[in-house]
Amino acid sequence: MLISDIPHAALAQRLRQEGVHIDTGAFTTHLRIGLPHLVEEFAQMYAQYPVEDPPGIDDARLRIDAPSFISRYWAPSAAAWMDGEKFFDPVPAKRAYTVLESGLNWAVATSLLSPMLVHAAVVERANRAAILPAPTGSGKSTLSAALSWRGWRLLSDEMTVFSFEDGTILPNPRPVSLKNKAIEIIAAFEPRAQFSPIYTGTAKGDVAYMRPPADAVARFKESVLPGLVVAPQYHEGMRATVKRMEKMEGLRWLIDNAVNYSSMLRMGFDTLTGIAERCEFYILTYSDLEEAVDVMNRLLEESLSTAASP
Amino acid sequence: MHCWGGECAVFNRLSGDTHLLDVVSSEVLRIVTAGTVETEQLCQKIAEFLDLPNSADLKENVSEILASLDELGLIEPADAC
Repeated sequence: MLISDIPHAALAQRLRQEGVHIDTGAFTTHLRIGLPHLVEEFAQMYAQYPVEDPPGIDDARLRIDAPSFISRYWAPSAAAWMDGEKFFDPVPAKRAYTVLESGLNWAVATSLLSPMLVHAAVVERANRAAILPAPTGSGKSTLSAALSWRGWRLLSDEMTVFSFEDGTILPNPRPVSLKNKAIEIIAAFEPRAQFSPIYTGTAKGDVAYMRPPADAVARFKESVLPGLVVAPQYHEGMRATVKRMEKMEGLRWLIDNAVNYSSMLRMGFDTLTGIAERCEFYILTYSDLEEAVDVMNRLLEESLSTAASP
Repeated sequence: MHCWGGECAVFNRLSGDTHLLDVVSSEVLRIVTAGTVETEQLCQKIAEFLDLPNSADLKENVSEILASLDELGLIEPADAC
């Protein structure tokens, strides 16, 4: 059953009381929401996602609600509870959806059952995953959003999740977080893109979320082997250029961006050195998204032809 | 141990740490892990590897690398066995 299959009143009641077990691909989260307007926004953004029913093992339990009875009416605000513990400072209720998305990110990053995680966007084409590791603000969400409308499948704009079993990448596509100018850039880039409201006044400025293309959600149980690693760097006014990175430097990038590398021990080492063995590493500097997409397509073609040659 | 362009990534089973070694440290580790070797013999091999004279400076650098690798627990002096 999808979120969109549940009548709105029933969904609001379930979210307020027993919660829903939302499946986003690699992770299942038990979610409860006590704020009516947030139910509306959640239902819009997660309409295509399935509810696990009957539930299996949740990776996390997240509740978004007013921090107190008084704040519900006097100074409406939203807070998040993870596994029963309150975390993050409350924000004005009109920005509750940002708390939901941050909470889901936090749930992924801190899950005790979590597989190996690298802070990187990841997209797939021709059964090859392109990992895009970069610090916040480098344009990885913007680039992955653009690629998701130009023949690439969005696996995640935030976190690359590696399978324990075979080192393949487990998709976990969720609404793509876009900030400030990136919102209008993606809106102009792709008219089919659908967005949440714009949340103003956050610590990162204006934030809006783009719904992943339907294909990304419909295929989120299809894992993919890594094919190339491209570190995006947005530089206003620059033509798209690509530079090959030494493998050891690339490995260092991956380790630096791995969220839970030290606790993965040998498995983490084998996973990331395995990527270094099979993938080429690049730095992509860009400002124009169509140019960046062209470069990504060319890098993929080169990767496929190298793999095919004897 | 995984190596690219002479540099190696090593997983340390004792500490659980990953070490990313430069070209010379990688070559020292490669030679030492291939079998017990005298320091003088090792210095000669490193001098040939770098195409440099087997000087006092080089010996000092190799000794420092050996001490670092020993401290990390990646190698140990043969007389400690």
